[in-house]
Formats: sequence, C-alpha cells, structure tokens
Amino acid sequence: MDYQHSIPISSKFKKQKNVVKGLPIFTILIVYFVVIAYPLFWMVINSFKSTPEIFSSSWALPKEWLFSNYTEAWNTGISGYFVNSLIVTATTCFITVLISALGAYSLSRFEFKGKNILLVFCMGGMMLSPQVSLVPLYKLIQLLGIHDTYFAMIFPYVAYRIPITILLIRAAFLEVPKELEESAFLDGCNTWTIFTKIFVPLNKPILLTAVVLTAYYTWNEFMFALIFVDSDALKTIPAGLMQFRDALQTNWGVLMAGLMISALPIILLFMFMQKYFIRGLSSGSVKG
Amino acid sequence: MQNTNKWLPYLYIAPCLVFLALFVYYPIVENFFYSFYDFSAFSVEKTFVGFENFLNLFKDEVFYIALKNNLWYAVISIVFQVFGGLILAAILEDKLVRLVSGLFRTVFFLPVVISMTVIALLFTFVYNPDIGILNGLLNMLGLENLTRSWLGESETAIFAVIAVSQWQSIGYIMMLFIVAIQNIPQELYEAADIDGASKIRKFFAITVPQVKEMFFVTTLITLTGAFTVFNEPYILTGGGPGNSSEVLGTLLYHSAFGKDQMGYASAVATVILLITLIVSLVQLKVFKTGKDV
Amino acid sequence: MKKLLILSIISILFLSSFAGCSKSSSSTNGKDVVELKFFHRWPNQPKKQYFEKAVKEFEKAHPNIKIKTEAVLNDSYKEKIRVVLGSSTPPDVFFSWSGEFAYNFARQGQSLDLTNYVNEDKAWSDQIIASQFNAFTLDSKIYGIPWSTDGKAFFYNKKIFKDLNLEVPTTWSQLIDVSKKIKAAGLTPITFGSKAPWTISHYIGTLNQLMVPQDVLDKDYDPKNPEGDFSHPGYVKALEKFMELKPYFNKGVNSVDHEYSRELFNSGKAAIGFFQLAEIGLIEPSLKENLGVFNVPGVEGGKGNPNSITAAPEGIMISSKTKHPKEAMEFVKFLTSKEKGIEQLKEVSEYSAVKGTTTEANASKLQQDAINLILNAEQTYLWFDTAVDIKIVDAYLNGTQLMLDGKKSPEEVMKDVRAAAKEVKASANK
Repeated sequence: MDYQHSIPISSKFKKQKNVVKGLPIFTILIVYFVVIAYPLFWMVINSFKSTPEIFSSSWALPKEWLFSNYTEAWNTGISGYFVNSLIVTATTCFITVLISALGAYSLSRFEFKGKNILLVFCMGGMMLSPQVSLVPLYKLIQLLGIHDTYFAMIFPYVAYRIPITILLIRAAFLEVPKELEESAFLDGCNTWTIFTKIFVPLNKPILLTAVVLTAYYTWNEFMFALIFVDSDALKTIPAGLMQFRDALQTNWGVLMAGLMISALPIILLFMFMQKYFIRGLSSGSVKG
Repeated sequence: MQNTNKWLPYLYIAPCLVFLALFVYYPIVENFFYSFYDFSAFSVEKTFVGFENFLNLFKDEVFYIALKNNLWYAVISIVFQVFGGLILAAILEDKLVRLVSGLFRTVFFLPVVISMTVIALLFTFVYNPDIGILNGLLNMLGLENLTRSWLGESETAIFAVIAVSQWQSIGYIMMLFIVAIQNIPQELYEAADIDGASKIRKFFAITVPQVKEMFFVTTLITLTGAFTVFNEPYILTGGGPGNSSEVLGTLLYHSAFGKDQMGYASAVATVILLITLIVSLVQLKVFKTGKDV
Repeated sequence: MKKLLILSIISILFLSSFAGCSKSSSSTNGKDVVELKFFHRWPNQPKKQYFEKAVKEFEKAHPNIKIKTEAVLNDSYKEKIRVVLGSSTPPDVFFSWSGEFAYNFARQGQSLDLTNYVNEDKAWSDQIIASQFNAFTLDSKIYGIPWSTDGKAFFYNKKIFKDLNLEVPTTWSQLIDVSKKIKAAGLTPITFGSKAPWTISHYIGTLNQLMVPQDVLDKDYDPKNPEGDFSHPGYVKALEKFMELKPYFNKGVNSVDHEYSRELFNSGKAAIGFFQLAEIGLIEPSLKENLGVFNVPGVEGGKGNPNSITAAPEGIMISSKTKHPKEAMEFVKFLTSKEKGIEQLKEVSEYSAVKGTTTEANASKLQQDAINLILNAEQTYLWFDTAVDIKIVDAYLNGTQLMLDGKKSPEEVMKDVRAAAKEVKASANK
C-alpha cells in the first residue's frame, strides 16, 4: 500500500490526507460489502418467490411477492418449535458460558500442576467429528435416561461448545493486567470475588461474544436434535424446518422464509450485543 | 496467584471437565476402540479386525484426496479468515471508519448466522454454469474463457466449496479480532501517534502483538475447523464429481451412514483427531500461549 | 465460594424443573394397552397428516393398541434408523427403502421375518403386486411389505415435440435423432442433474437392463456370487450409450441437482427428462396436457430385455426386537390394505403397491398409464443403487461423474467397478 511511507508533515494537510488515505480502505470495504450483502439480498428476495420462480428467474425481483411463504413457514415449521429452541438455546448459552468462564479463569490466572494438559484436554471437543460420535452419544444418552428430553440436546451442545468458549474467554482473561488482581487481593478480595467483581465485568464483550456464538450454533444445530429427540413436542426450529426439504420436492420459498425468520432472533441478539462494542471516537477504553 | 487453596483451580474447571469427559471423551475413547472392529451402526456383533481399518484407509486413494483437500482448506482458511479477518477488524477499528463501522460489522457478520442449507442453495445459483452470476461477471469482464461449471468440474469443485466457507466465516473471525482489538489500551496507539508511526507500522507493532492470544484461538478454530469440515462439501458437492471434493468429514460420513462401515469411519475419525491434536500441540508451542512475550 | 455453591444449586434446580415437564408418560391408561413405536420418514405435509389420520383410524379400530409415531426426513432418516436399530429400544414398525437398504437390516438380524404372516393371510397379501415383494425378499424370506411403488420413464413435452414435428422415439437411435433436432431448435433436449449421483444410477441400471442378458445381471448383481465379475461387454456399451446423451444434456450436469433439472423441464426450457413416475404429480400441474410419458427406448443390438422397467417399492419392516409382532403386523396390514392404497394416491400422490388402487377415481389418465407401464412390464428391476452392493454403486457413480467431466472413459469406469465387485464378493465369501 502506497501510504506506507507517508510522514505527517503538518496538521494543515492532515484532513486532506485522511480523505486520500481513506480511499483505498473504503474501496476495499465497499467491494467486500457488496460481495457479502448482494447474496444476502438475494436470499431475502427469493424467500418471497415460489419454487419454480426461484429456479427460473433466480436473480430477478419476484413477479409477485409471496408473503404467504412467511405465514406458511411460521404456521407449519416454526411457531410450535420456537419455545423449544428458546429454552434449549438459553439454557445451553447459560451453562456453557458460565462454566467456561470458570474454567477459563482457572486456566488463565492460576499456576497449578497439569495446567497445560488440562488446556489440551479442553481443546479435545474441537477435534472430534460429531458425525462419528452419534452412536456412542446415543448409547450414553439412553444410559443417562435423558433420551427424548431437552437435556439430550443441551448436554452435548454444552460439551461441544466448551472448547471454543473456554479458549475465547481464556484469551481475554489473559490480557487482564495482573496489577488489578493484585491490588484487589490486598483489598481483601478472594478468588471468587475477583472473578465476579473484576474478570466478569471487565470482559463483558468477550462473554457476550461467547453467548452469541453459542447461541447461533445451538439455534442452527439439527443433527443431534433430530437423532436424540423423538417427540415432535420437543423439536427445535431447524429440526422443524427440515420438513420442507424432501428428496424430490423441496418448497424452497417457504424453507427460505422459515430460515429468514429463524435467523432473526440471532441477528437481533448480535445487534443488541454490538452495543458493547461501540465506543466513541475519543473515549479511550470500553473497559469498566 | 499466590496463597490460595491449591484445589481451587481444579474446582473452577471441574464442571467443564465433567461435561467434556462424558460427552466428548467417552465418544472419543469408544470411537478409538471401534476403529479396530468391523461393524455397522445396527450390527448385533462386532468383528475384531485389528489394524485392518487403518491399513485399508492408508491404501484408500480417496483418503489422500480428502487429506489434500483438507490441507487446502486449512491453508486457504488461514489466509482468508485469520489474516483477512484480522485486517478487516483492524480497518473497522480504524478511526477513519469508526463512524460507519457498526453497519459494516453487522453485515459482515450476517453470513455466520445464516443456515448452510440456504447458503448452499444460494451458491449453486452463483456457480450455475448457465445462469450463475460468477460466469455472468466473467462474461461481462470479457473473460469468457474462464467461465466453467465451477462445482461440476474436478479441478475447481473443492475450491468453489472452500470459497463458500470463506464467504461465510471471515465475519466470524473478524468479530473475534474486533473484540480483541478493543481490549488494547488506547495509550499504546496514542504514544505511537506522538512518535509519528504510520498505520501499517502501528498495525504490526501494536495490534498484532496485542492480539496474540486471540490469534492463537482463531488459528486453532480455523485449523481444527478445516480438518473436521463436513457441511459445506456435503451439501454443495457431496464430495463429487467422482471423489474430487471429498474431505475427511465426508469420507467418514459416507463410510458410517452410506456404506455401513462404522469401524472404517471410526478409523477416519481417529486420524482426524490425531491430525488436529498434533496441529494444536504445535500451535501451543509456537504461540507460547499464556506466557508473556 | 458460597455464592458459587448457591449458583450451581440454583442452576441445577432450574434445569431439573423443566426436565420434569418434558417427560410426559402416557402408557399408564388402560390395562393391556400395547404401545407400538412407528417410525417413518415423512415429517412433511401432506404425508405427515395422512399417517396421523391413519394412526387414529387404526387406534379406533384397535382400542388395545396405541401407536407412537415419529418421523424425520431422508438423510436424517438414514442416520437415525441405523442408530436406533442398533440401540436397545428400536421402533417396532419402520419404513425402509427396498433392496440393499432393507437387506442390510435383514442380514444383521434387525428385521423380523414376515414370510409366515404373508402366507397366512392370502386375502390381504395377494392383493399386493407380486413382483414388488422381490425387493424385500432375501434368501426366499420376506422381510418387508411393499407400501408404495414407483418407476422410472422418460417424460416429454408434447408441445415441443409437436412444434418441431417430432415422433416419440422407440429406439435409442431415434432418441438421439430427436435430441439432435431439439438442440438445433435452441432448446435443451434432455434435462439432467448429477450432483446427487443417484440420478446417474437410474440411467445405468436401466441401460444395463437393456444391454446385458438377464442371467448375467443376476450373477453379477448377487453380492455372494464370485462368478459375477461384471466382465460382460454390454456394461461398457451401456456406459457408452449413456455418454451418447451427454451432448444433449444441459450444461454442467455435475453441478446441478435433480430438482433444478426438473424445473428446467417444468418451465419448458427442456424437452425430455428421465423422471420417477411419482413426479407426474409434481409436473402435471405446470405442463398439464403437454406432459407425455414413454418407456425407455430399446437399444439396437442390446442383449437385455427391452420390455423391462426400473420399478421398485418402498416398504414397511418390523423390528426383530419388537415385543408385539402380532400387533405390529396388524398395523402394517392396515397401512397396506386396498382401502388405504386408494386414499394414498389421492392424498399423498404415492402409487400404492396394491393392485387396482390406481383408477379413474383417484388418478389422472397419465398416472394410470404410468402404473400400467409397471404392471405390463415383463420384468421389473430394482433401483440400481439398491440392487447391488454400495461399494459397486460407489465405483459406478463416482466413475460416471468423472466420465461426464471428461476425466474417465467407459472402460476405465468398468475397471474400477470390476475391482470393487471383486472386493465385495471376496469379503462376502470370507
């Protein structure tokens, strides 16, 4: 990049220079924005089409806007499963982030025997292919007597999300200055209060990121959901939406409308969480 | 941390360990034993075959195709997701962009939450040889000779699939870096400004070292993801044409649920596990995570 | 520390509170109520509703039997049925595709031998098209009851044929000829999508039937017969005949799926397609009277039977672990009765495997013609991908995809197939 060698000469030129400097950056951003946004736009407009129209004129605007796709998806695929998804996702997020934060606290702020081995142990879940664990997990779930309950989904989800979550939180915890902790110690805090009073509030962004990432995984997962749960009454949204995908006949318009609706809560969660990213132009730090 | 109960750190991590032991390590151990047997998911009896599954695997040419494709996955994902994601994050955190970065951030992250089912459908239209926009774009640019059936030709199929994964996942890694960058004390940048450092210089001198731990996490996520990937190739090409876009994950799945060779699938899973374990251990060494530089 | 303890107790309480309400047991009402688990693969409408209704009717007629239904779709069904059959609590009654899919369960002793039930109640079993039992018969024992049937034929757009002044082809060379003319007119002659390669297997199975004598096929397809080595020259010819169609397919067949290819046909952009008879119900609404069907034209010089059709059922099996085989069988008989068969076509567009269920009353003219193609064929063949061992299928399908991609020749594909066949037969006779 050519602005690499530029040296600030005087503040008079600074503004002008900023605009010039910004140009390549903005070009990159806008090109990438189009690459991402245009397909997303395609998804939205195609969710209003009938299946034949998706296939025959997939890049055009719908001839007729089929809002009925949305009502159909809601009525047959989503409304009944919404509460299940909510319960499973909320519980999974809560347990995962809580115990991962505790685990990360242990792995990042203590010196103890076997720490590195435990760190590797915690990474294990990222290395196992879930497809091959279906048979042992099914046996285990029957053994625990949680087959066909919410726990048949929640427990495996938690276990499979712990590795990433614990690593993320640990990475953030490691960056917390040691001095903060030491002075808190002198003030009479114990390890638990240091965790709740210093580490958790200081690392809200990463904890919320962990929540979002766990939520999006749980919200979209369907392999475990379909195999470990039998009752229709317990199924989650993606498992419910699968009913629009047949081998010979998929109602793509409705399926896409359903997937749009189901993505919405996660998008909202993300936007809500963004609040914790935003920092003013001048303010120094988000911490505190 | 000094003078605390020595059991405390174990206690804090205990809940995690319980979950992992039951739902991750029990399957891992079972799976390891399964890899020495010949059976299907619904077999009444399992036949012990020793190392036969592994020997067959190492003789299977599809295994090497898959391994090569996973390596491509790993390399390309590191470049685009980790480096690309970091650069994007740095740009969005730049003072120049900060006013509008909220919008960009949201849009860049959106593909992450969209289900693979829709993304796959979308990209079959992007890549479609007749009506696809990719070929359309190439035609518009006068590059007709580059147009092809992207998912349908052995040479391009796996790369077309990998590209979809990049499209979806860069935003994920980007977001992790944004969180990390925001944790960097501003004073460091201010001090550099006084010294008159350029943006590029600040990026390499401050941003990169300061996000070291996140760098470790993101490379780990990306690499383990590259070796366990399943959904994208399975939905987009099913491993075809021929076996040209097969990855270890689809090989495993086809063996387990297509050919009813659960033992063989377990052997594949064991190999995946070993690869990712080695990769992770190497990373632990390289990054010296948890230790101040 | 205390807080941690309290927090964990609270979370455990919170968790167990809704564990309690999710377990709703319903087995305690009535004394000798038998509960059957029924697992099928259609959670989607209209079939979901069809089965719900059928279950209700059955329960009403049999107050001592309660049926718990579960359904997941396709790929998930293939995963889940394998996992649950291997567990200690498999479903009593479950759906199965025909051929190898069902045989595998039978070989592992997971499905109940139903031969006696079929022989005992001739009044019921004789109503089912006899040839359809073949697909569930292994070593002369019947393991499944055919529920629906389906076949494969060429569909064509009558309007395009009329506009271009074309005749329905009755020989392979006529088919090529017709395709040439359609291509010259700027349309796609034959629509095809081989991304999911089972579509390839339908062509191959059909062409093998036309090119290879029956006794050779039987020998080669049998997983245990070591003499069947796929060495007949007809196999290579069959692949060559298939490749003759390639110039007339739409572009990039390996990258499009069957559904896309059907939409090309539906929208009138393509003139011919190779479809399942059940798809008439999906195409007729858009092409209406312009939709025509013809059986695969015979190949000149082919050594197989030209008066044959690929047509196979899907069926219902009973778990060998069931505690209530009689009641389970009762339910299967109910689902495969003539009465249900008639409803079935009307309500869920699946041809019943029961004779005389496709009539003017519940089917279009074309659908009746289609079912007659099956009934009048001298010989029906299983879907190729369920007729031979999966390893042989794999070699065929992967090879053909590469052949379409210009990477392999028919001989090379057959070389792979022979190697796979050798492996399969060696391990079966170990």
